[in-house]
Amino acid sequence: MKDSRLRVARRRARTAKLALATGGSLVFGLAMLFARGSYAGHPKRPTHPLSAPPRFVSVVRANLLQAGIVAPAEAPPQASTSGS
Amino acid sequence: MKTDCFESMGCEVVVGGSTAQELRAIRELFAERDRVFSRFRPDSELNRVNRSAGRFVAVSPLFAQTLAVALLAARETDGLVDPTLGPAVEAAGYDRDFASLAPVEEPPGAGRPGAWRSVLLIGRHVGLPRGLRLDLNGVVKSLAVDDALKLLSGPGFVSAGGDVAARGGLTVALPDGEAVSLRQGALATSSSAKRRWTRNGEVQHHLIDPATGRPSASLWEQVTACGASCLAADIAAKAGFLLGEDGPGWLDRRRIPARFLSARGSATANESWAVACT
Repeated sequence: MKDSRLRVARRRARTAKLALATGGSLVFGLAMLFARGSYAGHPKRPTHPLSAPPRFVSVVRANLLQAGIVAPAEAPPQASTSGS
Repeated sequence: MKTDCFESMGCEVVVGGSTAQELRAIRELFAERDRVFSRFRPDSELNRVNRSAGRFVAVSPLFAQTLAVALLAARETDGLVDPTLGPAVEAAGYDRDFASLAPVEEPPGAGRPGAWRSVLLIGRHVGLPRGLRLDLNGVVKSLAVDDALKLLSGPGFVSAGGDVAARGGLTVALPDGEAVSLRQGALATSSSAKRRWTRNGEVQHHLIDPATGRPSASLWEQVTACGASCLAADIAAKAGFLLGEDGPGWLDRRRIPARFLSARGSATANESWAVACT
């Protein structure tokens, strides 16, 4: 009689420990997610190298030494180019 | 076409075909570029960065973007268009607003070769070695012209100190009185004839040879180039000027039309220009 009460008590204690461990882990995980989403200094996105965006660099390089189009003049000048 | 003029960045800005609102926006754009990049305003961002040589300093997105363009221009031209020639221009005597330059008895200072490879730009942080100073005028004015043209809603043009970008075609007078039709893109002229002064009787100008750090002894007095943008035209004209007799061929290899005037006034067109204009 006494043995069976002890077994039951031990089982209840094991279940309680398991429940506490599971609950604790769950709370810890949720707290981590909350911190990640709300703490100001926490990185929210993957970090990128500090440099000009590749698209900007490629657009500038592509246009840097491209030719325009000139043709013989057909009208009186409306503007002038002269060295500055 | 209605045209409006105003002074900014030490030169005359002419805008054609703008509405009153667009003209206001263009004036503000030039005023902002002058506030940020002027060598002669102690409070400009350029001077703040130059004063911080020897350590990293955070800069505005506009400054970082412009410096990135200047460094790309230096790379694409093998250092001919170099953003680190500020000390060299000052050593030659151009150390104040051009309008207040007067002949000086002192000889020019020693040449300061370009050192663009030693400039560090990491995101929005700039690092300059001690003693180095930036001068972004090589790209600032042409970038301002390109950005101003984008503010026009219809056909028109923007010209600053002779760098002209147009939308919808434009006839443009060349330095020697000839004219050309600009169908697409922009025309820019690099010249040693206008911004020149004397030091101890020796003529100086603002187009510095990055190899010597002294005013270039190019055989050309004025070089006009046509680029897809004002930035492209300006870089091409400077490179063509500084390369001397190699200029026409260098620009031909990039298919950039250009016209060269010697100090004696004789005009030479490279093949790309000759093909387009005959």
